[in-house]
Amino acid sequence: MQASAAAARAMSLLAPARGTCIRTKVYPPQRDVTDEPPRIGVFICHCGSNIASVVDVEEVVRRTAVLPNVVLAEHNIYTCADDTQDTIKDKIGQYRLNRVIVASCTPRTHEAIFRDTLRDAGLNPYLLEMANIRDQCSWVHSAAPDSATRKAADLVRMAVGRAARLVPLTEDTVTVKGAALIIGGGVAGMTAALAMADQGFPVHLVEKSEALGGAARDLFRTLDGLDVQAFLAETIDRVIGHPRITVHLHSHVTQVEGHVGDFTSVITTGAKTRQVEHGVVVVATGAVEGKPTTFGYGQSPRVITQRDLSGQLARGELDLPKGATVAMLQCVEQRTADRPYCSRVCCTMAVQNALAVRERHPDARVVVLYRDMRTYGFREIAYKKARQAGVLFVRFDDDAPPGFSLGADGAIELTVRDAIVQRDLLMRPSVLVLAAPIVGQHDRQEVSDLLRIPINADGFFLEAHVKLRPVDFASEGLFLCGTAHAPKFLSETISQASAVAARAASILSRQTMPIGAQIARVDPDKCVSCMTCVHVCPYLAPIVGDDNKAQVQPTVCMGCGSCTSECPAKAITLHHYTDAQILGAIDRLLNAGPGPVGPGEGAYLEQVGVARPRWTEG
Amino acid sequence: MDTDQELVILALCCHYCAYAAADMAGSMRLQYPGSVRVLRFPCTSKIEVNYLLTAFERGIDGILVAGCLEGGCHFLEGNLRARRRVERAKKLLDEIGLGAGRLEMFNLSSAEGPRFAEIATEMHERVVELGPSPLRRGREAVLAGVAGMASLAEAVIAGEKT
Amino acid sequence: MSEEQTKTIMVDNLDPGFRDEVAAVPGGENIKKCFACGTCAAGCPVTNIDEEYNCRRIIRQVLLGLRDEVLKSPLIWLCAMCYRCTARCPQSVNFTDVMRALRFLAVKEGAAPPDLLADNDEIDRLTQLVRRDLIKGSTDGRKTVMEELKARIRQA
Repeated sequence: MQASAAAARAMSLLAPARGTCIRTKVYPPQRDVTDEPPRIGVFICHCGSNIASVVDVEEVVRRTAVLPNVVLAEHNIYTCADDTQDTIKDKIGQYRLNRVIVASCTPRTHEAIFRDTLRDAGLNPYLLEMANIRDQCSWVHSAAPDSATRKAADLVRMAVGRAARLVPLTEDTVTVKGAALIIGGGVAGMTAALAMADQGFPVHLVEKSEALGGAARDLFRTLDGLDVQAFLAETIDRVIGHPRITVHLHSHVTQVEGHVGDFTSVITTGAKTRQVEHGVVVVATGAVEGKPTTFGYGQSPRVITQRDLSGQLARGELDLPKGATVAMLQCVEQRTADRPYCSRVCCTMAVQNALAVRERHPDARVVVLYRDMRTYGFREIAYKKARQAGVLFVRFDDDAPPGFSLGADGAIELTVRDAIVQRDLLMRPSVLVLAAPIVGQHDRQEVSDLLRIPINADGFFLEAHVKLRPVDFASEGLFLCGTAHAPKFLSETISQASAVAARAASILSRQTMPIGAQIARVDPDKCVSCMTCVHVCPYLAPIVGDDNKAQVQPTVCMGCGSCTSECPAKAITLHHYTDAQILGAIDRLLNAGPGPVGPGEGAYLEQVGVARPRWTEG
Repeated sequence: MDTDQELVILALCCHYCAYAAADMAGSMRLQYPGSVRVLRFPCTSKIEVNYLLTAFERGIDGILVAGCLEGGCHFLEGNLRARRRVERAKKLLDEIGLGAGRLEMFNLSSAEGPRFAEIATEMHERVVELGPSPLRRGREAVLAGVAGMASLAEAVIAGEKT
Repeated sequence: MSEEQTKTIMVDNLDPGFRDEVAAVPGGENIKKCFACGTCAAGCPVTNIDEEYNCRRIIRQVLLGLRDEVLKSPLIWLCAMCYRCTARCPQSVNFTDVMRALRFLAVKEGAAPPDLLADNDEIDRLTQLVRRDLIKGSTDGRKTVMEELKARIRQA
C-alpha cells in the first residue's frame, strides 16, 4: 500500500512523460486449431527436488503418455526456466501440439507465465492447463511417496480430461474513459482526487454534505503536533482550485452503470441530475464516531468522548477545578462480542489528550483505564512520554469492566480493580472521557447496493485481498480508501488514498484494456427470459436485450459462473469452465470418460446450442 | 483411479479461498491423506448438482466442496448458493442409499492452510469409515469383466496363431 | 496481607508527589517508564521463594502514591540486589537501583530504623558465608553438607 502511494507521488512528477517509453510486445499470429483433434503435450516438472524427491516423475510420465489425445509427455528439471520454455515452444511446433499441460506448481503464480509461452508459440493462451503436483501433492505427501506418485498421475490425468476440451478464447477490449468518480469528499477522497488530477486525469468528487473535509473537520492536531485544520484548509483550497477536479457538494451518486474503464453514472444534486462518464470509481465514504450508550454518555455533560475532549482542548474550553481527576476509559462498546473490532486510533488519542491535559493542568490526575495499549510503531514513544508525565495507566480485564454510577448531583463515581496491587481503585473524576468506537457510515448499505461491493461483519467495506490487493475491490475498476475501509489514522488514510490513485492510474492511463475471456455467454435459443441470471449476478452483468433474451455484458462479467449454475434452461455457458471441461476432468480421474476427443467436440456443440444427449452418457 | 488402489476423494475448491489455502498447506509442508484430489473452480457457485452426482455415479468415494467463509465470498453470495446445492445433493444421496455423509461443504479463508489440511483429513477419515463407494465396486466388477474378456480374446488369438 | 493492604484505594486522595520523589533519588529516575509487563517479577529469585515480594507490585504502589505502605513495608529489604530485573526490563526501569532509592527514603524519613542498613549488610555477609561453604562443600562431600543443612533447616 505504501509502495503504491509512493508510486502515485512519483507518477505525479512524471505525468508529462507518461507513455513515451512504451515498447509493445509482438506475438505471432495464433494458429487456428478448431478443426484439429486435440494433440496434448504434457510437461511434468521436477521443480528441482521439490517434486522429484517425493513423486516418481518418470512413472507419472509413463502413465500419462498412454492417455488418449496425449502425443507427448516429458519431464523437466525446472519447467519455468527460460530454456525449458524455449523447448516447450519448439515442441509445440515439432509435434503440432494444440493443448499444453504443465504439471508443476500452482497456477495462482505460474499460469500467466505459461500462457505467455503459448502465445509466443502461436497458440491461444486459453489452451493451457496446469496440474498442481507440488503445492497440493509432493509438499503435502512427502511422507507417502507412493501415494503421492499415484495422486500426481491422477492430477495430470484430470488435466488431460479437461485440456482435451479446452477451446481458444478471445479477449475483448474496451476503450477506457480516462476520468475518475470519487464518492466522499473527506481527506481520503480529496487526497485521491488531487493525486489523480495531478497525474492529468479529470476527477468528479461527490460529497453528500455541504462542505468538503469529512471527519477531519473534527480533528485538530496529529500526534506529531501537525495542525490538521490548516492542512485541511490548504487541501480544500487545492481541490477547489484544481482545473481537473469537479466538486459536487450536497450530492449523491444515484446510478452507476458499465464496467471497468467505461462507467456511466448519475450524480444527483437536489432536483438536478448530471450524467458523467469515467473509467474508475473510488469509494471514500468514511466512517463516524459511534455515540456511546453507556457510562452516562448523553446524561451528563461531564461524560464526553476522546474526540470531544480534543476539540475542547483545541478551543481552550476544558475547565478543571484544582487537583481534579480526569478519567479515560478505553475500548468503550468495542472489542466486545457485539462489536469485536478495535478502532485503532483511540489508544493514541487517549495518550495524546492525556499529555495535553497534564501540560495545561499540571495538578490534574489523569487515569487511563485500558484493556491493552495499542500505540503501535513510533506511537509507543508518546505512550512512554505519558507514563513519564505521570499519567496513571490501569489495566482491567474485559470480563471485569469498571463500575460506574452517576449521582443525583451529577457526581461520577468509577471503580476498577487494579490487578497488580489486587485492590479496588475508586475515583470521582471531574471528567470521564470515553474511547468511543469508529463505526461505518449509516448509509453504507446504499453505497454497497449501488456498486455491489461487499461490507464485512464489522460494517466496513471489504477489499479484494488484505495483502495482495489492499485498495481494490474484487470488482475491477472499483477502489477503496480511508475509514470506509476500516478505522485508521489520518496519515494511513492519506497513504491509502495515494495508493488508490496509483492503482487507478494503471487503468486510466491506457487507451484500451483487455477483459479476461473467462466470462459467461447466453445461448439466445435456449433463454426463456426468466431473469434468474439478472437476479443472481453480483455485478449486474446480464441484461435483457431488445430481443427479450438475456445477454451477459462481457466487460462486466467477472466469470464466477453463478448464473450458469442457476439458469433453469441451462442456456448459459461459462467460457473456460464449461460442463464438458469440468466433467471431462472428473471422468478422466475416474477412468469413465469416452475415448479420445475429436475435433471441436463437446464444448463446441454446447456453445452453439445443438440439442443432444449429455456427452457423458453411453 | 487405479482400480485396486486407495480411496479417491475430490475436493472442489474455490480459486480465491480453498484453492489458495490448499497451496498454503503445501508451503507450510502440512501433511494430509493422499486420497484428496483438488479441482479448481472460479467460485463454488459454479459447482452444479450435476457435477456432484456425475462424480458419484462414476464411483468417487467422497467429495468435499470448499468455499470462502460465509459473508466473505469473492462474488458476494456464491458460497451460499453452493451450500444450498450441496444440501440438495446430500438429500438425493440419502434417497438413493449412497448416504449424505460422502459429501460435505466447508468454508475457509485463503489464509487457513492448516484448516485445509484439517478438512482433508476429516473427510478422508469419514470416508474410510464409510468404506469405498458401492458404485465404485460395481464399476470395478465391470472393468474386471472387460479385462477378462480381453485376455480371453488374446488367448484365442494366440491359440489361432499357434 | 494486612487489612490496610486490601481496602479500596481512593484515587482522588493519592499522593502524586511520591513517584516524583522516588524519581529524584539517584537510581530511581526511570521508575515512571514502567508499563507493568511483569518481566522483573518473572525472573526474580526472591519472588521465586516468596510470592508476597513482587517487584511489579512495589513499582505500582509507588506510581499510585502509596507512600507509607511502601516505605514501612519489610518487603523492600528483601531484594537480593542481583540486577536480574534490571537486565531483563524492556523499559530500563532499573528496579534494583529503584530499590536502593526506596531504602534510602525509608531510612531518611524514619520509616525504617537506621541500624537496619547495617543489619542487612551483616545478613548479606553471613548469607555469602553459608553460600561459600555450601559450594565448596559440594566439591568435597556435597551430599553430607546438603543433608546437614536440610537437617538444620528442619530444626529451625
